[in-house]
Amino acid sequence: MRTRTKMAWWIGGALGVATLVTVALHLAPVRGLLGMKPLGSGSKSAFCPFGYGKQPAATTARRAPRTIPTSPRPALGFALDVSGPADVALWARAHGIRCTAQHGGSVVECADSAAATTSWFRFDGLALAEIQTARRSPDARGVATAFALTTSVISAVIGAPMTFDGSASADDLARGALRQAMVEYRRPGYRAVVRATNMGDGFVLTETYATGS
Amino acid sequence: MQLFLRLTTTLGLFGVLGACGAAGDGKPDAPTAKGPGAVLRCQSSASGANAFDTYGATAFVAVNEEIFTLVGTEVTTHGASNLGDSFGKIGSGNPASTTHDAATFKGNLAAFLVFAYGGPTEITYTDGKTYAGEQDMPTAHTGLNITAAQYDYFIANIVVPALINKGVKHGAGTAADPNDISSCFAPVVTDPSFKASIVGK
Repeated sequence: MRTRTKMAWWIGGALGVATLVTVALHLAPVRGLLGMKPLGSGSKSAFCPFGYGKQPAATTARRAPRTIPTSPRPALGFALDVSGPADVALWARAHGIRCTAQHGGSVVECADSAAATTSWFRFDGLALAEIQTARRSPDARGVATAFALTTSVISAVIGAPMTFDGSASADDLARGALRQAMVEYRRPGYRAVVRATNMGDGFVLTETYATGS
Repeated sequence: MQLFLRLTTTLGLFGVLGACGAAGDGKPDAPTAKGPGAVLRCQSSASGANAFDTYGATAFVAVNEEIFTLVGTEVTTHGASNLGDSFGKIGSGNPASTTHDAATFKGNLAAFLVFAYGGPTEITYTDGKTYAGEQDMPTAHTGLNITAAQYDYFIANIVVPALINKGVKHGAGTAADPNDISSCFAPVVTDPSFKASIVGK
């Protein structure tokens, strides 16, 4: 009788400890201390440490089995094939940018009215496959500077472009409507295209960063 | 969508050439109206001819096909959000402006381009059908909700590359190195009233 009582106490105690540990592992501060807090999720976006429930997109994307090129692929600070919708949402929140999901969430359109920029993020599953942007500038000097800056950043990381067409000087772009400078980079698993265009009523810088060749 | 990528048949090409009169001879079949580009003079033309008379029907067919090839690539690989619903909803009938199928849409665009740049008011395109060039842009784009950013993207990444890829001169803008894209193509699509007839409908 005494042995049964002792056993019952042990079982009850073990269940109590297990319950406490389970509850603790679901608390954000404990997850953080244990390195279980996923990147790109807020403190309130808890996920079950035992694999139940919906995981944040960024984490899911990182776990998706795929061959990701190891060479650097500049894409406006995002990681092609790696970043997920949660990363874009985090970036948008940090910069006060409004985004809307389209096509069932496979595309996220973000409009930054302060910067006169619209960005389209396309996801393959939950992994970032492509970024496209259209950034307006009222004057030729602005778009020429943005073009030079953008292309110099890409060139510094991956080297010279494959194609360069047109003149990107402010004077040349200002010379007439639809004057355009274009630069294209292609590497294994990476394609970037930057265009500066005179739209007649202003100028636009368009950028494309994509996986694939 | 595969229709976008369909190659122009030789037979079809002859069809449009016949409909437009002698290609490049500058004398299309008795036009009854003139498009906005009819008065624009290409810098490369010694006689000051407009875009249609300078480049001819063959080039316009090629540019139209190139637009659809580039759009097809864009839609297939990029999802078309940056182009609005005008291409992604072709043939769906919702909104009503997307009722036409891809082939009809292509013929309509070709007819519009030919007319807008100084060609005849109607053409017979590669599918053997006749299309009218004078089109109601606001009606054709109603319900598509095309944004200014999408319009910018389309012009910069589809229209200009299509013109360049098909040989429209885009040089420095001198007599020795003319720029026809600026002189006789750009004014139509950069005109604020034309843009307003497409964006935000």
